Amino acid sequence: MRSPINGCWLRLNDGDSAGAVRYRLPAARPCNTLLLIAASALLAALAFVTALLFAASVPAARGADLVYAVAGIDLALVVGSVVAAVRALRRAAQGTPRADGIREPLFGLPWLNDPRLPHLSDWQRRAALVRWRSGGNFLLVGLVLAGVPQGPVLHEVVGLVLLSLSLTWLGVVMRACADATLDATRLMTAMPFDPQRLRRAALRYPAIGASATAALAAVGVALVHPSFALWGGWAACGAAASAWPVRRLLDATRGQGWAP
Amino acid sequence: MNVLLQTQRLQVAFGDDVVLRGIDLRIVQGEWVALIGPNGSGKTTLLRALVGMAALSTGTVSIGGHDLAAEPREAKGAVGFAIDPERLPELLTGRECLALFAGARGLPEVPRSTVSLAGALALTPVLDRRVANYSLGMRQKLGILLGLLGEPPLLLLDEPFNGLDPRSALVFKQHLDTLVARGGASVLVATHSLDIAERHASRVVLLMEGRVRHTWDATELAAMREPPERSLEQAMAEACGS
Repeated sequence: MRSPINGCWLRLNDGDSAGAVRYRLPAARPCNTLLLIAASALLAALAFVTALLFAASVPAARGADLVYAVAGIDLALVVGSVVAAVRALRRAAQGTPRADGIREPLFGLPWLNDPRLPHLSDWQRRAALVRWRSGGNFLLVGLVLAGVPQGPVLHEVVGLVLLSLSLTWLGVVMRACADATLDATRLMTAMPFDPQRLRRAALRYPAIGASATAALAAVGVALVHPSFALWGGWAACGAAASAWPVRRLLDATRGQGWAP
Repeated sequence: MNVLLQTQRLQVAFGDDVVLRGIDLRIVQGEWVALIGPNGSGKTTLLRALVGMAALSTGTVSIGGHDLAAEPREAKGAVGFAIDPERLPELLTGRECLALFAGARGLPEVPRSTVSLAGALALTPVLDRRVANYSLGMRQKLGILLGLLGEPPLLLLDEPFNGLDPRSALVFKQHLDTLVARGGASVLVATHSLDIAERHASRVVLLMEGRVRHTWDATELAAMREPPERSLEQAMAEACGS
């Protein structure tokens, strides 16, 4: 039996191809069903989050913060769900396999690629995305928020989230870029590639990623407490998170090919 | 004749395990050489050693007159090595892979001959799909195309017909025959398919326990094709048993 994807033939095979029964599924029906399931799941998630926050705020006597917390998380859930739904519908319309969609960044950046070694940056970027979406990256954010003393103003909390999030993202990007570059050089061992050119191409996305996270961190520093000490601390943590992946990336592009 | 590949006393060891023991191999322009042998005889390791993917313990490899250790870029410029289907980058599309590898070979774009071969192998309709969604046969075709980019004079192929449908296998065999017949290319294929070795190769090399056990030249192969009771399969069985 083939999977009942959008607008396809549903084929119920009884083991004899001549006796197989085929039903034409209307294109809109599975889509509407999936949207209904998604909307129900979203409502359930909103209710669960509200109940959870309410339960947590009552014993802590922090009822005043409850409204902001519920509003923030609910807004994120709604926006995220809408974006996901729009993308899923677009993918269905384009016939893109689901596995491709999962690995597809939200927007393309064709200028990112080195024209002499095209798509190496795409490879790194998708590897970073897959690593990010594999989960576990909000641990640092959670730890930072757990350590926030009682009574900070909202913009300070947002600043701390930005600082920890940018640091996590930087680490993910650097590790993913190092892995993708290592894989690329292994695959290209039999190729007469120019190691210097490969290194320049391999450093483009990490450099842009580092700049973007630094900009995000700068906003975070400005929101928390504008000071060179805080900025320097973030930069030191960023350098520590990037050092080993960058070393691996540089090692991988040192010479002509790689023998295990 | 122009010598494209020459190895001298080539030895490869992984720790204490010596996989290749003093291989001397010479391939001239226009040769179609089949490398046969039982599992674990060292065929894949030999091909990998020829392109620097397995480190040599001793010996030398010269490709197109360039020593692989001393002039790796020049040596690798003369060789095309089909990529292992399992190691293809799953996050890229087939077309993106071709563009990236063409860039690595220093080509400004994917050559028309590669695009044409992709069409002949019926791979064009899926070139814009991610490699992660490819079947084994599609991956095999893409790995072959990556190895043939720019049509280098020496082609090294490891079990290239695995997973190919009969029509694509025929198209690819004919393509290799054409490349060799034009005189510009030589092919070294590691294969378990004795039929391919017998029908297409101008020389067959039997590798056993890391050593060249026997070689059949064009005359011997032609003699084998004549009587129906003789075959490379039988000759190989005799050579392995001797």
